Amino acid sequence: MLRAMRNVIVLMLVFSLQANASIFSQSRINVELKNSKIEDLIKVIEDQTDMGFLYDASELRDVKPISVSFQNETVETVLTKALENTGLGFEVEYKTILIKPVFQNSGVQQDTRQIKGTVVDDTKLPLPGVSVVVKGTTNGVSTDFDGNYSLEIPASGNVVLVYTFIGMEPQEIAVTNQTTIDVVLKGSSEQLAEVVVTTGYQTIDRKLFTGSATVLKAEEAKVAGVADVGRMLEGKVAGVSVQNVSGTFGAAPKIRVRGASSIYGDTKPLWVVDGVVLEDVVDISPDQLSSGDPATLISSSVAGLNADDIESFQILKDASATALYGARAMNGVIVITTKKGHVGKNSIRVTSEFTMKMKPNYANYDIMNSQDQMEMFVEMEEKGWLAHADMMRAKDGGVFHKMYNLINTYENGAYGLENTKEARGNFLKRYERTNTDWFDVLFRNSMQQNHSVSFSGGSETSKFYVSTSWLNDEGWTVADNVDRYTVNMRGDFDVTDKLSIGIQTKGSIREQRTPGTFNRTNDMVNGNYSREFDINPFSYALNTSRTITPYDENGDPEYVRMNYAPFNIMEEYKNNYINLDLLDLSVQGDLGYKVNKYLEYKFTGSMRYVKSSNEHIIKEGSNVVGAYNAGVDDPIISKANKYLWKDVSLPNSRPISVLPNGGFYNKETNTMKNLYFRNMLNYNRTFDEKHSVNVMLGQELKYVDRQNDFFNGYGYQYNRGGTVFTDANIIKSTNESGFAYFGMQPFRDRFVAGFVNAAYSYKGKYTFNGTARVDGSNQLGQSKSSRYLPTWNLSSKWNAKEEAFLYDVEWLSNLSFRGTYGLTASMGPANNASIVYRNNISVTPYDSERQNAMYIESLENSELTWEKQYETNIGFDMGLFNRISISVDAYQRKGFDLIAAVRTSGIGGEGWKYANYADMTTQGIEFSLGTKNIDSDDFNWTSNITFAYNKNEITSLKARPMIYDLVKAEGGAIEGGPVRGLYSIPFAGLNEFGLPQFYDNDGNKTLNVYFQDDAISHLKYEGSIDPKITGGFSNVINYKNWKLNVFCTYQFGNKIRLYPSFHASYSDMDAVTKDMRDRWMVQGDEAYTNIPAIASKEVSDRYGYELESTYNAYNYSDQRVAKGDFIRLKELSLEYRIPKNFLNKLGLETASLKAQGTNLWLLHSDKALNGQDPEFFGTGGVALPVPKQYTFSLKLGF
Amino acid sequence: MNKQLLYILTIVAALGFVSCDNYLDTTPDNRMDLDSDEKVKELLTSAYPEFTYGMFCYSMSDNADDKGAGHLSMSNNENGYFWEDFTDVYQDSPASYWDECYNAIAHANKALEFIESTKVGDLIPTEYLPYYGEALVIRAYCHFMLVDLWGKSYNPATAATDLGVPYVTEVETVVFKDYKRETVAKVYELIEKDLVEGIQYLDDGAFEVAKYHLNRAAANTFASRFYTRKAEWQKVLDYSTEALRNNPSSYIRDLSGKYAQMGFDEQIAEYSKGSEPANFMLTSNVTYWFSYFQASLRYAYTDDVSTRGVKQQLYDNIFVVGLTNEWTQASASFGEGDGFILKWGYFFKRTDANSDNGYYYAMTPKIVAEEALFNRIEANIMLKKYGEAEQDLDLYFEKRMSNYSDANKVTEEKINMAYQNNSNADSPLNPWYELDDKTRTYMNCLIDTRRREFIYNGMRWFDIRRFNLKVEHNVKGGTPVTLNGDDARKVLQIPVSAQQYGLQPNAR
Repeated sequence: MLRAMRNVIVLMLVFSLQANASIFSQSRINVELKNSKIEDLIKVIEDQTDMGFLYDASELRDVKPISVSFQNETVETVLTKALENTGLGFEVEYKTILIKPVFQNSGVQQDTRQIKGTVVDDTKLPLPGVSVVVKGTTNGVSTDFDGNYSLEIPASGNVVLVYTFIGMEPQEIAVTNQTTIDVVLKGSSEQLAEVVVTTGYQTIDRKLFTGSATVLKAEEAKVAGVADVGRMLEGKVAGVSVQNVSGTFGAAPKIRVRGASSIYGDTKPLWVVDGVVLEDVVDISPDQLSSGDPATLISSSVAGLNADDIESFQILKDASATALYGARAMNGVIVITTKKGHVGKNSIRVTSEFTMKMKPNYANYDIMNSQDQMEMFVEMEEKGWLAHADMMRAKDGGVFHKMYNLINTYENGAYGLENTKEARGNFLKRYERTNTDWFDVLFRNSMQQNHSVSFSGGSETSKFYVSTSWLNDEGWTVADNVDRYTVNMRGDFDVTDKLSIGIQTKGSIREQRTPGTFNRTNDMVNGNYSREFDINPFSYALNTSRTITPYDENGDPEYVRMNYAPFNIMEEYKNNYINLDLLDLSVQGDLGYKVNKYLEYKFTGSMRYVKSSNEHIIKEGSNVVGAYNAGVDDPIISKANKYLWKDVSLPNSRPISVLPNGGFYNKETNTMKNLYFRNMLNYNRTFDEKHSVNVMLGQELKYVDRQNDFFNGYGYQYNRGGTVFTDANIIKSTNESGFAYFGMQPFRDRFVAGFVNAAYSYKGKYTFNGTARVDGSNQLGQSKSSRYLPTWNLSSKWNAKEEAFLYDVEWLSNLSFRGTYGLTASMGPANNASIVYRNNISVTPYDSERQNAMYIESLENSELTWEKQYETNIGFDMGLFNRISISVDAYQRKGFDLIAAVRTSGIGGEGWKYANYADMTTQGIEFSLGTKNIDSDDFNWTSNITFAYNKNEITSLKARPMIYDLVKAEGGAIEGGPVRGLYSIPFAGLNEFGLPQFYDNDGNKTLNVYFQDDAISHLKYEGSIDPKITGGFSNVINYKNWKLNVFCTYQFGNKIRLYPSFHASYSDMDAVTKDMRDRWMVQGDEAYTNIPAIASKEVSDRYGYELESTYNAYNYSDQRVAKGDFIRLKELSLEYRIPKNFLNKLGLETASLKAQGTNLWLLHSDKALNGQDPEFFGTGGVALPVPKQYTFSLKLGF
Repeated sequence: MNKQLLYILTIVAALGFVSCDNYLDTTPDNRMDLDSDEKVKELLTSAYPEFTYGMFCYSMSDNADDKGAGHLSMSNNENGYFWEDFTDVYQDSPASYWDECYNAIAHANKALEFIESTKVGDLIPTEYLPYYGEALVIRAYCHFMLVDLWGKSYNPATAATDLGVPYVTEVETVVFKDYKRETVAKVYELIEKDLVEGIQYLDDGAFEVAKYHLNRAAANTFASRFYTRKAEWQKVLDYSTEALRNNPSSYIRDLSGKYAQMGFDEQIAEYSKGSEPANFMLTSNVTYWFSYFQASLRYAYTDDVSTRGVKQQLYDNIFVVGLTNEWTQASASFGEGDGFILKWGYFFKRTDANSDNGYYYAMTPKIVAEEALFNRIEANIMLKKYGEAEQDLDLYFEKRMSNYSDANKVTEEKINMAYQNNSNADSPLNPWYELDDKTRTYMNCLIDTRRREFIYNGMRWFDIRRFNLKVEHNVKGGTPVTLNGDDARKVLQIPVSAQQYGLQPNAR
């Protein structure tokens, strides 16, 4: 808070003090004014000299008109004459003239004495022009340039001095017998927050800003212990919803500004840092964010930013606020401004954070313990599963497999285990009792540290800010860890009066380790996502039976069977992991040139380079390598094990291993090179002190080259010094499947835009603003017809408080109304303005028959255009008693030309097309309320509530989704529904065998659900997967040096698909939820329970593989849905600022200690969730939920 | 000051110049341009339907039988067996084949459009000619398959009013373009025009792998098939002879020789190899229609002896089977009742190197030497050259029988014995043209033999249409269902998605 305001003050001073010493008296002017305002005189002087003025406009307001007439007279003389009898005086330093009231002693002569002192701000900078008045009188003075004042006060009686200055909190001090009173004025957060809005292109006086935007200072936004700044916005800004679909470092949360605006396209807001858009390194679709695929680790564009470098966030919400982003603005814009150096003493800031992440606990999850689980296994055994012969050849096997294996072992004249009922019972007993705590095994109460240090300072002409930080997370799970280093260097230089240059470099390096993971794939027939060799610790803990033990009685790793090969989770983490390295470096230059007083030229140029490399290490001891070699000697397993390979040219041969030596070394690299240039001319002039006009003209250019390449190394021998021993057959087998063992794809994004913005304001009361912009892009394809898109916006604002009839209404501290209408757009997920040809290799098993082929990926769509939206926004801001501030916005968005996958007649050659054939409307209200409940010197308490309601409806969509598209956890889109609605297969009770039945489209009960069916009218609409209501509630209590912050976030109105935990068959490794205790056991149970039976082997054989889709249909039925509503105690923190006098002894300027708990408590959520996190999708791979954590932080300033 | 302003404006304008239109011409990714004969060749490699009609045509035919519950059910199999409108729109469904044919046509049209643009004067450059020919024949072939499924079987008396399919000769550039159905006569006329022009330019040397293209043998066989519909028998004879060239015997699949030496897996592999002389044209199809599903679907041929009827005795009553020789085509079984005749196998293409998920591909022989031979036999019969027909039949049986001896050779007597008044179908052959007694007997023999040869490839359905055959399907535990000779359901219903865009549906 304070930091932000200091910069404003500094800027003012810099502006006024920037001159080199010219002699004031030499400046002579001609002036001829009659009954004019003081402001007119000021203007004349400013026009004729290079002097500037500093004054409080409110003090000039009531001054009576002046008349002056001089030829070639010094400014000093003119001013002295002009200000006679106006109650104003002036003071000059260098080129700046400070106009201030001259206070006169009131009426009756008394004994007086002198009191003097200095007024400074909280950075020790002197404050000139502060008025110091004896309370209840007109007796007062203003401070001079050095902040000094001297005042005659009555020698006796109660005297209270009032210190006031614009943008600062007024202070009252009761005078006792001091002769010197030095005062530190603090920035008034309320008032200053309103001062400027930075759109990334412009910095605008808040009073003249016509759009809907929320300014959030970093201090307010920062959540200690949270590394990704994207997550910090949760609940802080009305209309911005943040869902932590994965908490893994680097994974982006799902952020929506005013809800989704596209159906199939991008819905991420645009991140802008210091005026430059942060381009994504990889393009991740909204649904992919929750996939847990390795690419999500680089999905967050802001993961490389050090939160301590951030000065403020500006969230631009409506079309007016985002107008300058034109055809990229549809999803809202989040502007980040980083810190700059400032004039004055060099300052050093050190921040250290220690965060303890807490292990999850079974108490929060509804997982069967090992006794119940063993009971279930026994039932499975009775039902024909887990039979000796089957288990020996089963793909996966736990305790029973182990038991049969021992029975089969004959060594040293004895069986590993005797095949008697008693011996078997004894064997199982150990596992029945073990109750393994997987969370304890796989997670740890881990420490994350983040240290950052910054230096800043400068002179009037050159300022610098340098910072560096190190974040180390030793890993919440045993299988992950992260180190991140950042550096940020920034210098701002005033080369001459007119020319200023800023140069900055931001860099970050990340080293991260995660469990080895492959991409998930989608099986639409059975309605499954599947991921091979998934060893995600969270999924493993939730899905693995507690009868399995990681270590045996001797403490050695104990193996189960997975994919026909031995598997131990702890060993697997050692042998199968991903190393991610990321380098992100950007260099930016800004140049400003003041052509004259009104016209300024600005240039911004930036170059950013990102390289991320992702090494998937799979060593010899891993289960993956095991699976590639399992069962070669067993005729049945060798047929079933799909990782073995059979040579098609030898049809009678047996499958063989294609990885007899070594393991895999798979590497994927993503690089991005981004250049950006912008030229702007800004003309700003005020005519007659009434009409202020601002015209801006600009042009920008973007150049992004992305490249994705991968290389799969086969036969890397980790245990033989890295020698490579590749079996030629593995290349043959991948060739056959049409996969390359290496590949590279370039992506080129070219973008140009021109824009003009004009703003007019009459006395700051009525403001009108208009923007027009044309964007051009190469992304739609090479056709020239659709590559350009014009967008525009009109908006206005009425500052009612400035009206004469409200000016004196004391209780109303602020009142203004805003209105916006305009067109914004964004690039949809289609690129076929001209025909798109791609190349591939034809699919056949034989090398000799393979051909190069070229195919039409998409036919030309001459009608292709951007996705667009008209937005209407009306809002008002109100302040009451200087204590309550209210901001309300209501908006309607009409999205059109949205891209949808439309079914065509097929006759043109393309059955499905991505085309601009969908419309959507969104309505919403945003409300934020800030109150100062108690405001006194030692104790104050402020509250902030944000609330946002957002509802969208697809009004037109020519798509025909399948059942699977609609019932999956990510939801689907149909006409009349929300952007992502969740639909369920209607459950029709269990049948007489305990199998789940469903209603089909004709209302009949059936076991068979065909997930690819597009007859969907019978599906039950559950609700949107995006919350309708989001917001937060914070309370900050300051008592002396203590600060307590309680912050809750909430969301309501969405539905969640529960984890798909029901299957046609289970292995003796699967964990199940406690609901399973209520499962159907005997005929007749169907009357009492809706939990399906464990299907017997006989039933399973009868229905075949279709039974899996029956059970999956249950997972996607109305029985497996919960409400997404929650209230979460997001943050609770207590901060102590070490008192000044103590600090002085230590040589410190500031110091504070803070303890904070994050994600402490889910105050409210649907019981049906059974511990499932309503934000987290649980898809395995690299995805992890956001942990409960405690942070201790220390901040020092020198 | 003004000078400075001018200076800066110049810089701005200069920088602005960089952002000219050329900058946006950069291609966004690895997409290609169509700009050479090489590229046209590669484009046409993709101009063959990736989906196939095999399963649904088979299911509708009289080769399928109900094996009862407990066998694999698949909606395309079930809808087909009961001649219902198909609900599935993915692989092996009529709707998917419709889409893929038109997709292939779009590829061909794009190639034609480009080749036209390379014309020097009125002449197509020679390097483009083979592809010009291929594209035309592809367009003819795909439209023929469409009209042969979604239009009534050709009958000159009604073809001018029977609804055919849209004949597409231009690539669409808008999202939704209006199309209307041409009459069957018009479609045939356009097919013939494309086919006759295109076939003369074909050059097998121009293809990378000729067996995956409409090469000369395949195109000639297709042409002979086309003219059987129009009963232009001399043309059928000419084109099929051209396809078989000088030594027909060397093209017939050698089941009695080469295949008899192989194991089952080898036979299945061999069946769909490009190197097999009998395979004139293969296509790479995403399909379930291969040995495993051919065996295990509920509505399919069964080897279950308890339900043996005419249909199940497919190989029992071959009239040339004698004491010394036997039918050699192997059959096998995946389980009780799940027997099958060995044809082609599958190839599993994973969606990801380590994934469980993927697509089953089958390299399906779409045009084979046997078809050319059968078309020639048919032409000879219709032209009353019975001797030539018998010779060709012998040539075929020799490759299907072990120890095929002179004693077993085809004679009129034997044919009469087995096929006089017996078509082995549920009703007599009833084409739009007249058959006299002898011709009918010989045709009964040919069509029945052909049915055996083409059991899974869907060709039987086209004979059922062409000869207006009745089909009876058993229903386990229910009454049989019947498809009459002139049943409206012999014409597939226009896919719902096409109906929605204004295409007139077929009568039901």
